[in-house]
Amino acid sequence: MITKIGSIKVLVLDKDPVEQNILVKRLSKKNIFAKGAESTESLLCDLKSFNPDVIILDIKAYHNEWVEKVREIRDSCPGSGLIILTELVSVENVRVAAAAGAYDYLIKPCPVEEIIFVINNATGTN
Amino acid sequence: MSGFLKKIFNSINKPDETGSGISKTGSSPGHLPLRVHSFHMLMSANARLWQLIPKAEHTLHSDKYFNIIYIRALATDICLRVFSILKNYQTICGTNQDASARFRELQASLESLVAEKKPQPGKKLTVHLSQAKDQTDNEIGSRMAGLVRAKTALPLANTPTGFIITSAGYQSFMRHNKLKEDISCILQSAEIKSMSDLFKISSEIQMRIIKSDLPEDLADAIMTAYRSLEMETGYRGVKTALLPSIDSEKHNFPLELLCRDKYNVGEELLLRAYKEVVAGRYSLTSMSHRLQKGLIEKDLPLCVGCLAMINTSFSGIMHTSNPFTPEASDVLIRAVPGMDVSLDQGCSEPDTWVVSRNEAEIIQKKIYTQNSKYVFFLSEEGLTRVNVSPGQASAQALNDQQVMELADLGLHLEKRLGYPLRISWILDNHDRFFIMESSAYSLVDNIHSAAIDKSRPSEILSKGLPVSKGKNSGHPYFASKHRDLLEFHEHGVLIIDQAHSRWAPLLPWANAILTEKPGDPFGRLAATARIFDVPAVFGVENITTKTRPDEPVSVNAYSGTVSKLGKMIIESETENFNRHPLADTPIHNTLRQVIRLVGDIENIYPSQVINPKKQNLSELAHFSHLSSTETLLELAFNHLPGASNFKIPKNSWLTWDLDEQSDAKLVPGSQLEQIDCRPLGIISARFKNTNSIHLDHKKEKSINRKIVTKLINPFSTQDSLFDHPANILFSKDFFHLSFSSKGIRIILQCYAREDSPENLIFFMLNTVKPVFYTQSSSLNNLFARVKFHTKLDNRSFIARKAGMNINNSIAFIDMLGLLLTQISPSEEPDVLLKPIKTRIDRACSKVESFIDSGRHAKFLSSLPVS
Repeated sequence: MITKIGSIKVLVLDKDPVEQNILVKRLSKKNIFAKGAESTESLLCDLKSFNPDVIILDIKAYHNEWVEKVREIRDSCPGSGLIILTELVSVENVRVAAAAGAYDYLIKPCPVEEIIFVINNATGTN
Repeated sequence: MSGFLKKIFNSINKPDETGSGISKTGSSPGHLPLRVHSFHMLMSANARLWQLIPKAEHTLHSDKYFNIIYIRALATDICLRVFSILKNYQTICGTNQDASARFRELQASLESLVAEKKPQPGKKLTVHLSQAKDQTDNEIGSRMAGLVRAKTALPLANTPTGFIITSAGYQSFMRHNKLKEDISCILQSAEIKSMSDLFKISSEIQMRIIKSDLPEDLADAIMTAYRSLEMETGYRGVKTALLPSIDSEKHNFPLELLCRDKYNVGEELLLRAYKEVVAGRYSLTSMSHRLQKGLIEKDLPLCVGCLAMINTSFSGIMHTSNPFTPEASDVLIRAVPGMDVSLDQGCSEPDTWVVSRNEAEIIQKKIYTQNSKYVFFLSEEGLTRVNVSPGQASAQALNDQQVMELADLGLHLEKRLGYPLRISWILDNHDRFFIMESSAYSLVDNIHSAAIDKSRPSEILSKGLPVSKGKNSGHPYFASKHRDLLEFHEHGVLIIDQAHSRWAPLLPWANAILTEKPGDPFGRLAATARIFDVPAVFGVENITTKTRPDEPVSVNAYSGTVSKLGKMIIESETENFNRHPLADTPIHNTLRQVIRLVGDIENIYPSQVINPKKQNLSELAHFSHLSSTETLLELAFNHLPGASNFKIPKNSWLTWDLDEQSDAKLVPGSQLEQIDCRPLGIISARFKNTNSIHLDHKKEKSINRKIVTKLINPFSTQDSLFDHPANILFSKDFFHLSFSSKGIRIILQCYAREDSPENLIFFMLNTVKPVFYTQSSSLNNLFARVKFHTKLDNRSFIARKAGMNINNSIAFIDMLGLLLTQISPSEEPDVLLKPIKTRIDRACSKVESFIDSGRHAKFLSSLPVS
């Protein structure tokens, strides 16, 4: 089985709660244990309590402080794969995100199949 | 045609007071300076016309893709030139009502053929597939219209049920949110310097669309249609496939290919999925296409088909005329287990069958191991890739009986619709075939066989299957992660593991693409490569290990080879005279009909130019050109001293400089090559026994301001080639010669222009007695050897070659000059008394010897590569 990954836990943080809910719903429909973060501030708490395998983060939620936040998340959850999913598109961002420890960088809108493909890659399920 | 052109053409109906228009009512010709000016204008229009006609023919016979815009522009341009020729002809010769009337008829016929369909979006926001029979491509998109046409043609065939959110629905959505204005604003304020800039804009626009609200009436209409679908299928929460469908009539490939499909969408996310499909109109690939092709970013309606999902055992694509074979005499069927998304994504090798169209038997079969398949689960959204059990993996998708049944279905549909089809099909879990899509061939079906590579084996790094032809080079760029999409170096050679469609957005910016694993040549990535003219080779073994990012490579996607840069041998492209990939499609037939009205160059006979009533446009132009020339010749005679009794002596010709308008002059035939008509100059050089061809045309003075009289023995040979006066029509790059000689009638037309790849040579030899077909093998062999198209019947031999560069044109015109001299050799007058066959065989033999001797080859090879 390639994408039937019911044991994988994914935490989603999007600036837009509607988008976040839709992604959580879609991932859940694909048999992934997905959860939306309560808020940007409580993300670190959520990480500790949920202990996700993968974190999907819209860096737009943190405006100009996103690099620090990515590093913070990596430090607090070194075993989790961090995937950026955002509208902020630039080569510079991609490089900085990679340097800060992000596994991959997806651009919105991204088909859920592609997100799952990257989740699988990040967790080694593929 | 545009209103402007209509206005011009409509002036044909109005009396012209100056006598310079093509008037219905009688008018006298203009005075001499006006006639002279008109003759210049006529010659200029004629030269342009003879660029356009071969171009049209070349398009029809080559593997070049075209669309309705191309045909419309071509037809308009041709009409405009013929109009100019006729108008100037009437200024010179006076009114010819027959010619005017015929032109109007032809122009009206052309207009009806290529007229632009005005967008007339209907009022229905959604329409059920079964009720969409009367909807146009503009209302429901070409993809859905194709499915509806298939169902109408074969009512008993299974097709999915569902509904279409129409272009009216799309426009309602865009209008409701003022999206059109917003998008226009984003685009106008954007500065696109690189791929990432476009990525950013694409993302911004798409998210703007996705986050917009649907108007209430549209949302209601969609949900009502969905409820009806639930009732119809008997499934509460029926899952649907949302497929974009755009009116692609004006384009040479289905535009929805650059958008995205959504599968297995239920009630909950239906409206959201609709918006995502609409947003796909602004995907990076789609926007890059519009940007690169210079298309206006206009609001092209995107319709969406919502089709009920079908439990699928196997699925695939069928081509009713195998695109891999030039004669297209068989059916190509490809199949994969589960949904054919893996085919679309290009990441699987499908089981393949080739079925003979005539014998109704399987003539080739290739079965591959399929380790995974795409399926849908009712509880999930989208498709899921699952492993296939080992027993099923190696089993063939369809049994032979099913293959024959499917081929029969495709051929039946092809017969009903009248053109070869690309059919997307599925086999459901009750073993019933469903037609999911049906369309005429387009650019995405333009596959070709690999050519032989001339590189030394040691120079080739690796080989694979070419799926998009072309040659290019660049630094390798290895992509594996999504972030590589943004970091891609423009103009690099993209190297990926699998031919997955996720890499398609990079193609507009890549010089070439290579994949390590084999991929489907009809998959989305390969098709996108063809759309963007990017050379692509799939299944290049060990390419990731054999190349390094700092060592540029050359990709030859004709032969499928990859070599280090600088090592590749550039071989000349061979002209492909195979069957046109669009042959028998509606768009191809439209061009064929246009050419019929314009005039196939093979069917122009000077003997027919007397009566304009049944002529096509090019014959009208010939007629006008000839009549104008004759009229001016009469004037030339009037300017000769003692004109009333004047006869042109042998070996002489008459010139009259129209600009000077002084007396006409007799010129010795030996000076014929001084005429500024390149083809005529080359041929006359042959008649002077000159082996060297004068290539320096810059020194020639501009003599297309002169006209030539009826030529009597124009070439400086001792004996007469011509029994009767020869007709020569010419302008700077065009030459038309017709003459008779001892039972043979020859017509030679050449078009040789420096900057035109549409150069053309037409040679026709007629005999009086209908026994020619038994005598022409030598002639046929000669022309076949130099790759001319040849046509033979019991009275005539026709050879034609188009699409040459100037150097090849000159070489072949020279060869024809040699042939003409040999058909009537001056040193052996008794030859003329011998049978026709002997004369032709002898002439051909001499030309062949000349080619074999290497002098011709040497001449050809000395020419610079075009």
